[in-house]
Amino acid sequence: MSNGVILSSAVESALKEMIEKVRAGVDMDKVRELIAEQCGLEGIDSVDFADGTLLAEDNAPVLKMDYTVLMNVPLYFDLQGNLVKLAENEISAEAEEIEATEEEEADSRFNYAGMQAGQVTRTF
Amino acid sequence: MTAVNLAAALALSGHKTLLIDCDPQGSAAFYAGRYTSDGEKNLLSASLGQKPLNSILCGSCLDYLKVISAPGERQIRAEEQLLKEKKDSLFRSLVSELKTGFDFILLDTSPDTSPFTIASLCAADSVLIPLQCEYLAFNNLGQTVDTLKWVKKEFQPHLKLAGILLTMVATNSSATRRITAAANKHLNKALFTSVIPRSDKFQETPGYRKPLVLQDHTSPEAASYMELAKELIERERFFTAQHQPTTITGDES
Repeated sequence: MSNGVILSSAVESALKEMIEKVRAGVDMDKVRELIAEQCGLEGIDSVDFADGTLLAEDNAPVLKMDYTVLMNVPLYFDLQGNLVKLAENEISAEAEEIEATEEEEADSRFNYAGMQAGQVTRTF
Repeated sequence: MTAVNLAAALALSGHKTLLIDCDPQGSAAFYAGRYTSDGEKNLLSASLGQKPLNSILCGSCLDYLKVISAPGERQIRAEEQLLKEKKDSLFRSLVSELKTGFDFILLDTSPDTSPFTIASLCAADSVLIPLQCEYLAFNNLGQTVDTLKWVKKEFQPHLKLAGILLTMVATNSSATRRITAAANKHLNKALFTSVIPRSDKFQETPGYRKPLVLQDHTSPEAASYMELAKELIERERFFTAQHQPTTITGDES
């Protein structure tokens, strides 16, 4: 019985060591890229290692590494508690869109002023 | 600003030039270094026969540049009724008389439609419109040209558009970029290829009572006015095969 406990502790310790070795070798920049790409999350604040577990995947041992992704996501509610806006990246996208529209409108206004001046100038 | 530096550039190019200050503020004559401080010697008093024509011509900082001062607000107000009634003819005969002694006569007007400004426009053969590279100025350009068309239709059928000059051009400004693009697209030949850059020097040089083309003659700003003078001379040669003296009115937009 005690042997079993000793054996279990030894395996657990070896497993922890193995997880730690794998964790240390992981390229975190790649992990961030992967999360951004696969999950569509931009503007991640931090990615922290949480835990590792040994599992079997297709009859082969794999280490399941859990990470905690920290991201500041403001949600906007009206005074009745209804969600108004979802997330910062959505707001940014919308702001960019508004900005682009404003730029186009400004271009258009300048062009219109030029067109009007051009019309009266041509018939001078 | 434009009229004074252009007048000086024309004079430096060897053309006998007369600058008539038609803005009651009197800045142009001051900036050009007019020698007299006699406010009674101006276009209006000579047109009314109160002063002989040769007495209103003043010297300046350049031999080839003569200046006529602007009448003051009080004098203009006193003659307002006459200016309204005779705006089409009041200055014309006098300016015509002055043409015999000059290659170019520039009338520097204020950007309004007062009887005095209209009377000045009626004495002009062609109009140069300085256009600041700012949206509001650009947006009003159509209205300015429309007013000039009205003057042409009602009073001065020979009035021509010498061209539109982009001023205060800042290459890093989005307004300049947009105005340049729209102006090139829609104004076409009416637009001078010369442009006047935005520069703090234009705020500083009036204090020296010398046009920038003299005060800092090697500067890019001075070069831009020399280019403009060259272009204007070419345009006027195109307009008048025999190179008759020409009057230019600068109507600041």
